[in-house]
Amino acid sequence: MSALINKFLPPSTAFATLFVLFLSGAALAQGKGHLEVTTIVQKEIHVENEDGDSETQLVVAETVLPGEHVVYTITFVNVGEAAAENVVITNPISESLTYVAGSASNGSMQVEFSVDGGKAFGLASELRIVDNGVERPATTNDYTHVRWVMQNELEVGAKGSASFAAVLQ
Amino acid sequence: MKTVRKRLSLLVRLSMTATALLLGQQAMALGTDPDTLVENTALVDYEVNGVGQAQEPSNAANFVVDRRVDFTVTRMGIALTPTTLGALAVDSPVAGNYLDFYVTNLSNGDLDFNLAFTQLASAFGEIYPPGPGTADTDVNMNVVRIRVSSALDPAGAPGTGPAPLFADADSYIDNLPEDRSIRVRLYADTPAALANTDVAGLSLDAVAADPTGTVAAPGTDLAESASWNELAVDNVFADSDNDNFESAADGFDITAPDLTVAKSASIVAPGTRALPGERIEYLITIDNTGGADTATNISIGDLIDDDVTFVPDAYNGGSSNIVFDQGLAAESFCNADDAADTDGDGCSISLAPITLTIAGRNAAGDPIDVAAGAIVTVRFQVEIPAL
Repeated sequence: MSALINKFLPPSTAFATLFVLFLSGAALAQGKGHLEVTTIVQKEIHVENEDGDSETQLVVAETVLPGEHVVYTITFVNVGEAAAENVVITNPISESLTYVAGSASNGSMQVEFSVDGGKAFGLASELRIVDNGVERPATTNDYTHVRWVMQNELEVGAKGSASFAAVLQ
Repeated sequence: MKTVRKRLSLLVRLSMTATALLLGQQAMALGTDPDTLVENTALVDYEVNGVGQAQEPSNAANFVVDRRVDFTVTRMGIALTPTTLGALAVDSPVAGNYLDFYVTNLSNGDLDFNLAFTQLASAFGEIYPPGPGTADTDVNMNVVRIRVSSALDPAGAPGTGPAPLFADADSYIDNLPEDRSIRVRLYADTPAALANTDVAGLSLDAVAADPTGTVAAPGTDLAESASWNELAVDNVFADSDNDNFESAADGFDITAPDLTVAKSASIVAPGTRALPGERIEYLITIDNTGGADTATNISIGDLIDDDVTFVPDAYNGGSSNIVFDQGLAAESFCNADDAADTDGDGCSISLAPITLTIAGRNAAGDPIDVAAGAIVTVRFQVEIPAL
């Protein structure tokens, strides 16, 4: 391909093209380090605000008891030198937790779930499960994983986040 | 649990799976067990220029499930338990000398309990409100013993397990599983002298203890953690008042005789005035209508004025000098002879001063008992000496 380009383009342009290819190759070789991913777990508490209304706050999950809601927030930053495409964030849902319906919703990403330990994923409305030989629509109790499929590229330096809530059984 | 790191050996992974299965089975109605590690690591897949890149894991955002310390103490009684004076707390066959409770674990894991009792003070108020006669009257039982049943109550049926026996272990509940209950009994000895309708209130007090304790080596009372830790088990008090202390009150209703004694005198016909040579009949009335228990072995002492003389043959055709009237029963007689009670009927008399002792109700010397609600009268005569 380089040879072809050399035939039709001035040398300086060819050099630039090579340089781009070289960069891509470096990125491939580097493998890791393009995205930085961090996860935090917090607990939902309900406090009364000044108007006497109940307000939900997120606090450090120092104590977590059965029945309480925890919120996982995953933040990812593109620290590489090329846009990341087809970004998919996958998060297992612990056996001790039950996903809270609707909590993973995200405007810019499609939310999918797995009910088979992360092998297959689908939209909440499409997932079905065979329970004691009877097929039925999957419920939040059946979810083993949640994943977010980013619709756009993650540009260099761009940052995104996804979160979901779960109740401790 | 689900994020198995690749560096772990197969053996470790297998054991993790086994642990996960075990935890799954243990998780009961009241939630995930304390000390369960809930792990979470997000994974990000992406491509650059259409080429798949190495999966990028996040840091681990883990936490450890904490212990919710929540339990209740419930009394099984629906009314005060009647008990008689001097009754001893023995396992069998004496009924009415114990109070039953059960302790229920509402935590998310096993709990031990240190047990104690409190003798309630009258200020405690009504034990079974509303209604009279149920307030503690600040009397205490003599000896109280705490006994814990040898087996749990059936699941979902608190208070229906085996009764705690007198011989069972005391004061400590070892490993009460979540959502289960066990019976606890307070055995108590009743003092020998209390008034009828006195109420002795007792409470069973429970404090959750370290579940690693045993009956032989009781666990220390659980304390709420001074500082919370995401990756360690914290104790979070969720019982009423959030103080790791629960208590239930019940009480004994003392049933005792309540005697009133009256003495009156009348001139024996045909005389109408107490003149020398006339006879006077004394009537002693022993009334137990206010009591709820039989008064037994009553002994009556009567000091007779030196100015009169005891009539030795007033009744029973001249062969007896004291007569008993016990309501529906026929009259019975005994004889006060001398201070030594030579005829053994329980009735005797001594001189200087003249003292009459009446401690038997017939020639056989049977004891004078007055049942609850009954009245017994005793009569004897004296004569005013002629001038």
